[in-house]
Amino acid sequence: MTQDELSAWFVDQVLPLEGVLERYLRRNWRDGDEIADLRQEVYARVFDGCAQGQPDSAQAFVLSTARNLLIDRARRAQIVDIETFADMDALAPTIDELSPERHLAARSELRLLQRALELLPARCREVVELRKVEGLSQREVAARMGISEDTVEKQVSKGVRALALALQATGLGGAAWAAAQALQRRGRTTQ
Amino acid sequence: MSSELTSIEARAAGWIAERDRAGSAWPAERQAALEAWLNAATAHRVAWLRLDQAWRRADRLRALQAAPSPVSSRPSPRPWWQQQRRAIGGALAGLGLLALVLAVQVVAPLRGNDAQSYATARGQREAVALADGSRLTLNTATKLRTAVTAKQREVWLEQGEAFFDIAHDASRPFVVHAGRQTVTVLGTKFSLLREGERLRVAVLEGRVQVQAEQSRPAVLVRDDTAVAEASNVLVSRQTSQQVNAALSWLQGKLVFDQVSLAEAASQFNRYNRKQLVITDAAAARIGIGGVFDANNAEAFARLLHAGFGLQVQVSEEEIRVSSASAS
Repeated sequence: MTQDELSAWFVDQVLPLEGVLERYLRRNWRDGDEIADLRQEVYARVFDGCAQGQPDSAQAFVLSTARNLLIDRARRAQIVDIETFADMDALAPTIDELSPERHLAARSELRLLQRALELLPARCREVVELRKVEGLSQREVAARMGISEDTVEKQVSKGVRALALALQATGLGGAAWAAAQALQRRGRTTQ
Repeated sequence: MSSELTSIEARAAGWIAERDRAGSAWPAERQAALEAWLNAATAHRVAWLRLDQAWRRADRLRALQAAPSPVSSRPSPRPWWQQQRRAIGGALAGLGLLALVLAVQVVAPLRGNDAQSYATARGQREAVALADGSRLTLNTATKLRTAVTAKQREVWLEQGEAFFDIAHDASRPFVVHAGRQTVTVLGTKFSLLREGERLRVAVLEGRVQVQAEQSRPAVLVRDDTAVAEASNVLVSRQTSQQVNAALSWLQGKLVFDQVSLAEAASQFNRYNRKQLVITDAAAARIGIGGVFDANNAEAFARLLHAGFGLQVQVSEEEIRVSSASAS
Protein backbone atom coordinates (compact mmCIF):
# COMPACT_ATOMS: atom_id res chain seq x y z
CA MET A 1 0.00 0.00 0.00
CA THR A 2 1.19 3.51 -0.78
CA GLN A 3 1.44 6.09 1.99
CA ASP A 4 -1.65 7.85 0.57
CA GLU A 5 -3.75 4.69 0.44
CA LEU A 6 -2.70 3.91 3.97
CA SER A 7 -3.67 7.41 5.12
CA ALA A 8 -7.04 7.14 3.38
CA TRP A 9 -7.69 3.76 5.02
CA PHE A 10 -6.66 5.21 8.40
CA VAL A 11 -9.05 8.15 8.05
CA ASP A 12 -11.98 6.02 6.79
CA GLN A 13 -11.61 2.95 8.98
CA VAL A 14 -9.58 3.77 12.09
CA LEU A 15 -10.45 7.34 13.09
CA PRO A 16 -14.21 6.64 13.32
CA LEU A 17 -13.35 4.12 16.08
CA GLU A 18 -11.98 6.84 18.34
CA GLY A 19 -14.96 6.66 20.69
CA VAL A 20 -14.66 2.87 21.00
CA LEU A 21 -10.91 3.07 21.60
CA GLU A 22 -11.32 5.82 24.17
CA ARG A 23 -13.95 3.86 26.11
CA TYR A 24 -11.74 0.78 26.08
CA LEU A 25 -8.69 2.69 27.33
CA ARG A 26 -10.65 4.46 30.07
CA ARG A 27 -12.10 1.19 31.26
CA ASN A 28 -8.72 -0.49 31.49
CA TRP A 29 -6.30 2.23 32.52
CA ARG A 30 -6.48 4.14 35.77
CA ASP A 31 -4.49 7.21 34.92
CA GLY A 32 -6.86 9.45 32.96
CA ASP A 33 -4.05 11.86 32.11
CA GLU A 34 -2.34 9.22 30.00
CA ILE A 35 -5.33 8.35 27.81
CA ALA A 36 -4.45 10.81 25.03
CA ASP A 37 -0.87 9.49 24.85
CA LEU A 38 -2.07 5.89 24.80
CA ARG A 39 -4.48 6.73 21.99
CA GLN A 40 -1.70 8.39 19.99
CA GLU A 41 0.57 5.37 20.57
CA VAL A 42 -2.18 2.97 19.43
CA TYR A 43 -2.71 5.05 16.26
CA ALA A 44 1.01 5.06 15.46
CA ARG A 45 1.28 1.28 16.01
CA VAL A 46 -1.82 0.61 13.91
CA PHE A 47 -0.53 2.83 11.10
CA ASP A 48 2.89 1.18 11.05
CA GLY A 49 1.41 -2.28 11.52
CA CYS A 50 -0.80 -1.92 8.45
CA ALA A 51 1.91 -0.77 6.07
CA GLN A 52 2.05 -4.34 4.69
CA GLY A 53 -1.69 -4.77 4.22
CA GLN A 54 -5.02 -3.95 5.75
CA PRO A 55 -6.50 -6.20 8.43
CA ASP A 56 -9.98 -7.59 7.75
CA SER A 57 -11.47 -5.80 10.71
CA ALA A 58 -10.04 -2.44 11.63
CA GLN A 59 -11.94 -2.54 14.92
CA ALA A 60 -10.53 -5.90 16.09
CA PHE A 61 -7.06 -4.78 15.06
CA VAL A 62 -7.28 -1.43 16.88
CA LEU A 63 -8.53 -3.04 20.08
CA SER A 64 -5.97 -5.85 20.08
CA THR A 65 -3.25 -3.24 19.47
CA ALA A 66 -4.59 -1.28 22.44
CA ARG A 67 -4.62 -4.41 24.58
CA ASN A 68 -1.00 -5.26 23.73
CA LEU A 69 0.04 -1.72 24.46
CA LEU A 70 -1.58 -1.78 27.90
CA ILE A 71 0.12 -5.10 28.68
CA ASP A 72 3.49 -3.66 27.56
CA ARG A 73 2.94 -0.60 29.69
CA ALA A 74 2.00 -2.60 32.75
CA ARG A 75 5.07 -4.81 32.36
CA ARG A 76 7.37 -1.86 31.90
CA ALA A 77 6.00 0.10 34.80
CA GLN A 78 8.48 0.61 37.64
CA ILE A 79 5.89 0.27 40.35
CA VAL A 80 3.20 -2.16 39.46
CA ASP A 81 -0.15 -1.87 41.07
CA ILE A 82 -1.08 -5.43 41.98
CA GLU A 83 -4.58 -4.77 40.69
CA THR A 84 -3.21 -3.95 37.26
CA PHE A 85 -2.14 -7.54 36.82
CA ALA A 86 -5.35 -8.83 38.27
CA ASP A 87 -7.07 -6.80 35.56
CA MET A 88 -5.02 -8.22 32.70
CA ASP A 89 -7.49 -11.03 32.19
CA ALA A 90 -10.26 -8.51 31.87
CA LEU A 91 -8.51 -6.73 29.03
CA ALA A 92 -10.41 -8.64 26.40
CA PRO A 93 -12.71 -6.21 24.65
CA THR A 94 -16.32 -6.45 25.79
CA ILE A 95 -19.11 -7.41 23.47
CA ASP A 96 -20.22 -3.80 23.48
CA GLU A 97 -16.82 -2.71 22.16
CA LEU A 98 -16.75 -5.36 19.47
CA SER A 99 -20.21 -4.76 18.10
CA PRO A 100 -19.97 -2.79 14.88
CA GLU A 101 -20.17 0.93 15.44
CA ARG A 102 -23.41 2.30 14.10
CA HIS A 103 -22.65 4.61 11.26
CA LEU A 104 -23.63 8.13 12.17
CA ALA A 105 -26.37 9.50 10.02
CA ALA A 106 -25.50 12.83 8.47
CA ARG A 107 -28.07 14.50 10.62
CA SER A 108 -26.65 13.30 13.92
CA GLU A 109 -23.19 14.16 12.58
CA LEU A 110 -24.41 17.72 12.19
CA ARG A 111 -25.79 17.69 15.71
CA LEU A 112 -22.51 16.30 17.01
CA LEU A 113 -20.55 19.05 15.28
CA GLN A 114 -22.92 21.66 16.61
CA ARG A 115 -22.46 20.45 20.17
CA ALA A 116 -18.70 20.32 19.66
CA LEU A 117 -18.84 23.93 18.52
CA GLU A 118 -20.63 24.86 21.75
CA LEU A 119 -17.65 23.56 23.72
CA LEU A 120 -15.16 25.97 22.14
CA PRO A 121 -14.01 29.14 23.94
CA ALA A 122 -16.01 32.19 22.79
CA ARG A 123 -13.49 33.86 20.49
CA CYS A 124 -12.26 30.63 18.98
CA ARG A 125 -15.86 29.59 18.41
CA GLU A 126 -16.63 32.83 16.60
CA VAL A 127 -13.66 32.31 14.27
CA VAL A 128 -14.63 28.70 13.54
CA GLU A 129 -18.27 29.65 12.95
CA LEU A 130 -17.43 32.42 10.50
CA ARG A 131 -14.94 30.15 8.74
CA LYS A 132 -17.06 26.99 8.59
CA VAL A 133 -20.71 28.02 8.90
CA GLU A 134 -20.53 31.28 6.93
CA GLY A 135 -17.76 29.94 4.71
CA LEU A 136 -15.59 33.09 4.96
CA SER A 137 -11.86 32.87 4.21
CA GLN A 138 -9.42 33.59 7.06
CA ARG A 139 -8.79 37.04 5.56
CA GLU A 140 -12.54 37.80 5.53
CA VAL A 141 -12.88 36.53 9.10
CA ALA A 142 -10.12 38.91 10.20
CA ALA A 143 -11.86 41.83 8.49
CA ARG A 144 -15.26 40.93 9.96
CA MET A 145 -13.94 40.59 13.52
CA GLY A 146 -11.49 43.48 13.26
CA ILE A 147 -8.48 41.37 14.28
CA SER A 148 -5.23 40.52 12.46
CA GLU A 149 -4.94 37.56 10.08
CA ASP A 150 -2.20 36.13 12.29
CA THR A 151 -4.61 36.10 15.22
CA VAL A 152 -7.21 34.32 13.08
CA GLU A 153 -4.64 31.70 12.06
CA LYS A 154 -3.73 31.17 15.72
CA GLN A 155 -7.40 30.80 16.68
CA VAL A 156 -7.94 28.31 13.85
CA SER A 157 -5.00 26.22 15.05
CA LYS A 158 -6.53 26.29 18.54
CA GLY A 159 -9.95 25.53 17.06
CA VAL A 160 -8.66 22.51 15.14
CA ARG A 161 -7.40 20.90 18.36
CA ALA A 162 -10.41 21.90 20.44
CA LEU A 163 -12.78 20.60 17.78
CA ALA A 164 -11.06 17.21 17.59
CA LEU A 165 -11.26 16.95 21.36
CA ALA A 166 -14.88 18.08 21.50
CA LEU A 167 -15.90 15.69 18.71
CA GLN A 168 -14.29 12.88 20.63
CA ALA A 169 -16.06 13.90 23.85
CA THR A 170 -19.47 14.38 22.23
CA GLY A 171 -18.98 11.10 20.37
CA LEU A 172 -18.51 9.31 23.65
CA GLY A 173 -22.05 10.04 24.74
CA GLY A 174 -23.76 12.14 27.35
CA ALA A 175 -21.61 11.57 30.41
CA ALA A 176 -18.33 12.48 28.78
CA TRP A 177 -19.91 15.47 27.13
CA ALA A 178 -21.23 16.73 30.45
CA ALA A 179 -17.74 16.27 31.90
CA ALA A 180 -16.22 18.23 29.02
CA GLN A 181 -18.75 21.00 29.61
CA ALA A 182 -17.94 21.08 33.31
CA LEU A 183 -14.25 21.32 32.45
CA GLN A 184 -14.98 24.17 30.12
CA ARG A 185 -17.01 26.01 32.75
CA ARG A 186 -14.14 25.63 35.17
CA GLY A 187 -11.83 26.97 32.48
CA ARG A 188 -14.07 29.99 32.00
CA THR A 189 -14.04 31.01 35.64
CA THR A 190 -10.24 30.89 35.77
CA GLN A 191 -9.70 32.91 32.60
CA MET B 1 -1.23 14.48 27.92
CA SER B 2 2.58 14.37 27.70
CA SER B 3 4.45 17.48 26.62
CA GLU B 4 5.73 15.56 23.60
CA LEU B 5 2.23 14.86 22.29
CA THR B 6 1.14 18.41 23.12
CA SER B 7 3.92 19.82 20.95
CA ILE B 8 3.22 17.39 18.07
CA GLU B 9 -0.46 18.36 18.11
CA ALA B 10 0.38 22.06 18.26
CA ARG B 11 2.67 21.67 15.25
CA ALA B 12 0.07 19.65 13.30
CA ALA B 13 -2.67 22.17 14.08
CA GLY B 14 -0.30 24.97 13.04
CA TRP B 15 0.15 23.34 9.63
CA ILE B 16 -3.59 22.91 9.18
CA ALA B 17 -4.28 26.53 10.14
CA GLU B 18 -1.56 27.84 7.83
CA ARG B 19 -2.86 25.81 4.89
CA ASP B 20 -6.42 26.84 5.69
CA ARG B 21 -5.30 30.50 5.54
CA ALA B 22 -3.54 30.06 2.20
CA GLY B 23 -6.55 28.32 0.60
CA SER B 24 -5.87 27.51 -3.04
CA ALA B 25 -2.70 29.64 -3.01
CA TRP B 26 -0.79 27.07 -0.92
CA PRO B 27 2.79 27.21 -2.20
CA ALA B 28 4.50 24.02 -3.35
CA GLU B 29 7.48 24.56 -1.06
CA ARG B 30 5.22 24.74 2.02
CA GLN B 31 3.52 21.53 0.89
CA ALA B 32 6.97 19.93 0.53
CA ALA B 33 7.91 21.09 4.02
CA LEU B 34 4.66 19.69 5.41
CA GLU B 35 5.27 16.34 3.71
CA ALA B 36 8.82 16.23 5.09
CA TRP B 37 7.44 16.79 8.60
CA LEU B 38 4.78 14.09 8.11
CA ASN B 39 7.36 11.63 6.83
CA ALA B 40 9.67 12.29 9.76
CA ALA B 41 7.61 10.17 12.18
CA THR B 42 4.41 8.12 12.19
CA ALA B 43 3.52 9.99 15.38
CA HIS B 44 3.43 13.22 13.35
CA ARG B 45 1.34 11.67 10.62
CA VAL B 46 -1.37 10.09 12.77
CA ALA B 47 -1.74 13.26 14.88
CA TRP B 48 -2.05 15.32 11.71
CA LEU B 49 -4.55 12.93 10.07
CA ARG B 50 -6.76 13.02 13.15
CA LEU B 51 -6.83 16.83 13.39
CA ASP B 52 -7.14 17.33 9.64
CA GLN B 53 -10.13 14.99 9.61
CA ALA B 54 -11.82 16.94 12.44
CA TRP B 55 -11.28 20.21 10.54
CA ARG B 56 -12.69 18.69 7.33
CA ARG B 57 -15.70 17.28 9.16
CA ALA B 58 -16.45 20.82 10.29
CA ASP B 59 -17.19 21.70 6.63
CA ARG B 60 -20.60 20.14 7.18
CA LEU B 61 -21.46 23.02 9.48
CA ARG B 62 -22.24 24.96 6.31
CA ALA B 63 -25.66 23.33 6.50
CA LEU B 64 -26.45 25.51 9.50
CA GLN B 65 -26.15 28.68 7.49
CA ALA B 66 -29.53 30.10 6.43
CA ALA B 67 -31.19 27.17 8.16
CA PRO B 68 -32.84 28.47 11.31
CA SER B 69 -31.10 25.85 13.40
CA PRO B 70 -32.35 22.67 11.72
CA VAL B 71 -31.04 20.59 14.60
CA SER B 72 -31.51 22.74 17.64
CA SER B 73 -30.16 20.98 20.69
CA ARG B 74 -32.60 22.83 22.93
CA PRO B 75 -36.28 21.85 23.00
CA SER B 76 -38.31 24.65 21.50
CA PRO B 77 -40.99 26.21 23.69
CA ARG B 78 -44.48 24.78 23.25
CA PRO B 79 -46.16 26.46 20.32
CA TRP B 80 -49.23 28.57 21.07
CA TRP B 81 -51.72 26.21 19.47
CA GLN B 82 -50.65 23.33 21.68
CA GLN B 83 -50.98 25.52 24.79
CA GLN B 84 -54.34 26.66 23.50
CA ARG B 85 -55.33 23.11 22.89
CA ARG B 86 -54.58 22.09 26.43
CA ALA B 87 -56.47 25.09 27.79
CA ILE B 88 -59.51 24.47 25.67
CA GLY B 89 -59.54 20.81 26.62
CA GLY B 90 -60.86 17.66 25.01
CA ALA B 91 -64.25 19.02 24.03
CA LEU B 92 -62.71 21.02 21.24
CA ALA B 93 -59.98 18.55 20.40
CA GLY B 94 -61.16 18.45 16.81
CA LEU B 95 -60.74 22.15 16.51
CA GLY B 96 -57.32 21.90 18.10
CA LEU B 97 -56.36 19.34 15.50
CA LEU B 98 -57.47 21.69 12.77
CA ALA B 99 -55.32 24.42 14.29
CA LEU B 100 -52.46 21.98 14.43
CA VAL B 101 -52.79 21.05 10.77
CA LEU B 102 -52.89 24.69 9.77
CA ALA B 103 -49.92 25.50 11.95
CA VAL B 104 -47.87 22.70 10.46
CA GLN B 105 -48.57 23.97 6.97
CA VAL B 106 -47.54 27.48 7.92
CA VAL B 107 -44.56 26.61 10.08
CA ALA B 108 -42.99 23.62 8.37
CA PRO B 109 -41.57 25.38 5.30
CA LEU B 110 -39.67 27.72 7.62
CA ARG B 111 -37.95 24.91 9.48
CA GLY B 112 -34.88 23.39 7.90
CA ASN B 113 -35.23 25.58 4.85
CA ASP B 114 -31.87 25.62 3.13
CA ALA B 115 -31.44 27.69 -0.01
CA GLN B 116 -27.76 28.06 -0.79
CA SER B 117 -25.14 28.58 -3.45
CA TYR B 118 -21.80 26.80 -3.36
CA ALA B 119 -18.74 27.15 -5.57
CA THR B 120 -15.25 25.65 -5.58
CA ALA B 121 -12.13 27.06 -7.24
CA ARG B 122 -9.95 25.01 -9.58
CA GLY B 123 -8.21 22.27 -7.58
CA GLN B 124 -10.55 22.65 -4.58
CA ARG B 125 -12.97 20.14 -3.08
CA GLU B 126 -15.69 20.91 -0.58
CA ALA B 127 -18.07 18.85 1.54
CA VAL B 128 -21.56 20.27 2.06
CA ALA B 129 -24.27 18.97 4.38
CA LEU B 130 -27.89 19.79 3.58
CA ALA B 131 -30.61 20.31 6.17
CA ASP B 132 -32.30 17.00 5.20
CA GLY B 133 -29.20 15.02 6.15
CA SER B 134 -27.94 14.58 2.57
CA ARG B 135 -24.27 15.16 1.86
CA LEU B 136 -22.71 16.58 -1.28
CA THR B 137 -19.05 16.71 -2.22
CA LEU B 138 -18.12 19.31 -4.83
CA ASN B 139 -15.21 18.55 -7.13
CA THR B 140 -12.90 21.08 -8.79
CA ALA B 141 -14.37 24.23 -10.42
CA THR B 142 -17.98 23.39 -9.55
CA LYS B 143 -21.03 25.61 -9.01
CA LEU B 144 -24.37 24.50 -7.63
CA ARG B 145 -27.45 25.85 -5.87
CA THR B 146 -29.58 23.95 -3.36
CA ALA B 147 -33.13 24.43 -2.12
CA VAL B 148 -34.40 22.09 0.57
CA THR B 149 -37.84 22.72 1.99
CA ALA B 150 -40.39 20.61 3.84
CA LYS B 151 -42.01 19.80 0.49
CA GLN B 152 -39.15 19.23 -1.91
CA ARG B 153 -35.41 18.85 -2.28
CA GLU B 154 -33.77 20.38 -5.34
CA VAL B 155 -30.27 21.07 -6.59
CA TRP B 156 -29.17 22.93 -9.72
CA LEU B 157 -25.76 21.79 -10.98
CA GLU B 158 -24.58 24.82 -12.94
CA GLN B 159 -21.12 23.52 -13.80
CA GLY B 160 -18.62 20.88 -12.78
CA GLU B 161 -18.97 17.64 -10.84
CA ALA B 162 -20.44 16.54 -7.52
CA PHE B 163 -20.96 13.35 -5.54
CA PHE B 164 -24.38 12.99 -3.91
CA ASP B 165 -25.04 10.94 -0.79
CA ILE B 166 -28.79 11.41 -0.45
CA ALA B 167 -30.71 10.78 2.78
CA HIS B 168 -33.69 8.53 2.13
CA ASP B 169 -37.05 10.31 2.22
CA ALA B 170 -39.80 8.76 0.13
CA SER B 171 -42.12 11.73 0.68
CA ARG B 172 -39.64 14.22 -0.79
CA PRO B 173 -37.92 13.03 -3.97
CA PHE B 174 -34.51 14.62 -4.46
CA VAL B 175 -34.26 16.32 -7.86
CA VAL B 176 -31.06 17.51 -9.51
CA HIS B 177 -31.35 19.84 -12.52
CA ALA B 178 -28.39 20.02 -14.90
CA GLY B 179 -29.16 22.15 -17.92
CA ARG B 180 -32.01 20.39 -19.69
CA GLN B 181 -31.56 17.10 -17.84
CA THR B 182 -33.15 16.16 -14.54
CA VAL B 183 -32.07 13.37 -12.22
CA THR B 184 -34.56 12.14 -9.61
CA VAL B 185 -33.75 9.92 -6.61
CA LEU B 186 -35.26 8.89 -3.29
CA GLY B 187 -32.14 7.92 -1.35
CA THR B 188 -28.88 6.82 -2.95
CA LYS B 189 -25.24 7.57 -3.75
CA PHE B 190 -24.22 8.76 -7.19
CA SER B 191 -22.06 11.29 -9.00
CA LEU B 192 -22.84 13.79 -11.74
CA LEU B 193 -20.39 15.46 -14.08
CA ARG B 194 -21.72 18.26 -16.24
CA GLU B 195 -19.84 19.05 -19.45
CA GLY B 196 -21.85 21.86 -21.02
CA GLU B 197 -25.15 20.25 -22.02
CA ARG B 198 -23.85 16.71 -21.62
CA LEU B 199 -24.29 14.98 -18.26
CA ARG B 200 -22.37 11.94 -17.01
CA VAL B 201 -24.00 9.90 -14.23
CA ALA B 202 -22.39 7.11 -12.18
CA VAL B 203 -24.43 5.21 -9.59
CA LEU B 204 -22.70 3.77 -6.55
CA GLU B 205 -25.81 2.64 -4.62
CA GLY B 206 -29.58 2.64 -5.02
CA ARG B 207 -31.67 3.73 -8.03
CA VAL B 208 -31.52 6.91 -10.05
CA GLN B 209 -33.91 8.14 -12.73
CA VAL B 210 -32.41 10.24 -15.52
CA GLN B 211 -34.67 12.25 -17.78
CA ALA B 212 -33.29 14.10 -20.78
CA GLU B 213 -35.48 16.80 -22.23
CA GLN B 214 -37.08 14.92 -25.13
CA SER B 215 -36.74 11.28 -24.19
CA ARG B 216 -38.32 8.73 -21.92
CA PRO B 217 -36.79 8.51 -18.45
CA ALA B 218 -34.06 5.89 -17.93
CA VAL B 219 -33.66 4.14 -14.58
CA LEU B 220 -30.10 3.38 -13.49
CA VAL B 221 -29.09 0.97 -10.74
CA ARG B 222 -25.85 0.24 -8.90
CA ASP B 223 -22.72 0.30 -11.10
CA ASP B 224 -24.61 1.80 -14.04
CA THR B 225 -23.19 4.83 -15.77
CA ALA B 226 -24.99 6.99 -18.28
CA VAL B 227 -24.28 9.83 -20.64
CA ALA B 228 -27.33 12.07 -21.07
CA GLU B 229 -27.54 14.53 -23.95
CA ALA B 230 -30.36 16.75 -25.10
CA SER B 231 -32.20 14.00 -26.97
CA ASN B 232 -31.00 10.69 -25.58
CA VAL B 233 -29.63 8.81 -22.57
CA LEU B 234 -26.98 6.16 -23.18
CA VAL B 235 -26.70 3.66 -20.31
CA SER B 236 -23.78 1.26 -19.85
CA ARG B 237 -22.97 -1.26 -17.13
CA GLN B 238 -19.60 -1.01 -15.39
CA THR B 239 -17.77 -3.08 -12.82
CA SER B 240 -17.78 -1.72 -9.27
CA GLN B 241 -14.07 -1.10 -9.74
CA GLN B 242 -14.64 1.16 -12.72
CA VAL B 243 -17.31 3.16 -10.89
CA ASN B 244 -15.03 3.52 -7.86
CA ALA B 245 -12.18 4.63 -10.12
CA ALA B 246 -14.45 7.31 -11.56
CA LEU B 247 -15.07 8.50 -7.97
CA SER B 248 -11.37 8.57 -7.01
CA TRP B 249 -11.48 12.38 -7.04
CA LEU B 250 -13.25 12.17 -3.67
CA GLN B 251 -9.77 11.31 -2.31
CA GLY B 252 -8.05 13.84 -4.57
CA LYS B 253 -6.80 11.10 -6.91
CA LEU B 254 -6.98 10.44 -10.62
CA VAL B 255 -7.14 6.76 -11.58
CA PHE B 256 -6.22 5.93 -15.19
CA ASP B 257 -6.67 2.51 -16.72
CA GLN B 258 -5.04 2.55 -20.16
CA VAL B 259 -6.31 5.96 -21.25
CA SER B 260 -4.46 8.03 -23.84
CA LEU B 261 -2.04 10.67 -22.60
CA ALA B 262 -4.27 13.27 -24.29
CA GLU B 263 -7.22 12.16 -22.11
CA ALA B 264 -5.05 12.00 -18.96
CA ALA B 265 -3.80 15.53 -19.62
CA SER B 266 -7.33 16.87 -20.03
CA GLN B 267 -8.26 15.26 -16.68
CA PHE B 268 -5.28 16.91 -14.94
CA ASN B 269 -6.20 20.23 -16.53
CA ARG B 270 -9.55 20.24 -14.72
CA TYR B 271 -7.70 20.47 -11.40
CA ASN B 272 -4.72 22.73 -12.07
CA ARG B 273 -4.17 26.30 -13.19
CA LYS B 274 -0.91 25.25 -14.86
CA GLN B 275 -2.08 23.36 -17.95
CA LEU B 276 -0.51 20.21 -19.40
CA VAL B 277 0.00 20.62 -23.15
CA ILE B 278 0.82 17.56 -25.27
CA THR B 279 2.48 18.99 -28.37
CA ASP B 280 2.46 16.08 -30.83
CA ALA B 281 0.15 13.24 -31.84
CA ALA B 282 2.69 10.49 -31.13
CA ALA B 283 2.95 11.52 -27.48
CA ALA B 284 -0.81 12.08 -27.19
CA ARG B 285 -1.47 8.43 -28.14
CA ILE B 286 0.70 6.90 -25.40
CA GLY B 287 -1.37 4.71 -23.03
CA ILE B 288 -1.32 5.70 -19.34
CA GLY B 289 -2.27 3.66 -16.27
CA GLY B 290 -1.95 4.28 -12.54
CA VAL B 291 -3.05 6.42 -9.61
CA PHE B 292 -1.94 10.05 -9.40
CA ASP B 293 -2.47 13.11 -7.21
CA ALA B 294 -4.91 15.34 -9.09
CA ASN B 295 -3.19 18.48 -7.84
CA ASN B 296 0.31 17.45 -8.83
CA ALA B 297 0.62 17.67 -12.61
CA GLU B 298 4.35 18.40 -12.37
CA ALA B 299 5.05 15.08 -10.63
CA PHE B 300 3.04 13.37 -13.39
CA ALA B 301 5.13 15.15 -16.04
CA ARG B 302 8.34 14.05 -14.30
CA LEU B 303 7.08 10.46 -14.48
CA LEU B 304 6.42 10.87 -18.21
CA HIS B 305 9.98 12.01 -18.64
CA ALA B 306 11.42 9.17 -16.52
CA GLY B 307 9.11 6.43 -17.82
CA PHE B 308 8.60 7.31 -21.48
CA GLY B 309 11.60 9.54 -22.20
CA LEU B 310 9.31 12.42 -23.14
CA GLN B 311 10.61 16.00 -23.15
CA VAL B 312 9.09 18.19 -20.43
CA GLN B 313 9.32 21.99 -20.33
CA VAL B 314 7.78 23.76 -17.34
CA SER B 315 6.94 27.47 -17.58
CA GLU B 316 4.81 29.79 -15.48
CA GLU B 317 1.63 29.03 -17.43
CA GLU B 318 1.99 25.48 -18.74
CA ILE B 319 3.83 22.17 -18.77
CA ARG B 320 4.73 21.23 -22.36
CA VAL B 321 5.21 17.53 -23.06
CA SER B 322 6.61 16.32 -26.38
CA SER B 323 8.17 13.24 -27.99
CA ALA B 324 11.94 13.19 -27.84
CA SER B 325 12.14 13.21 -31.66
CA ALA B 326 9.76 16.15 -32.05
CA SER B 327 11.78 19.34 -31.85
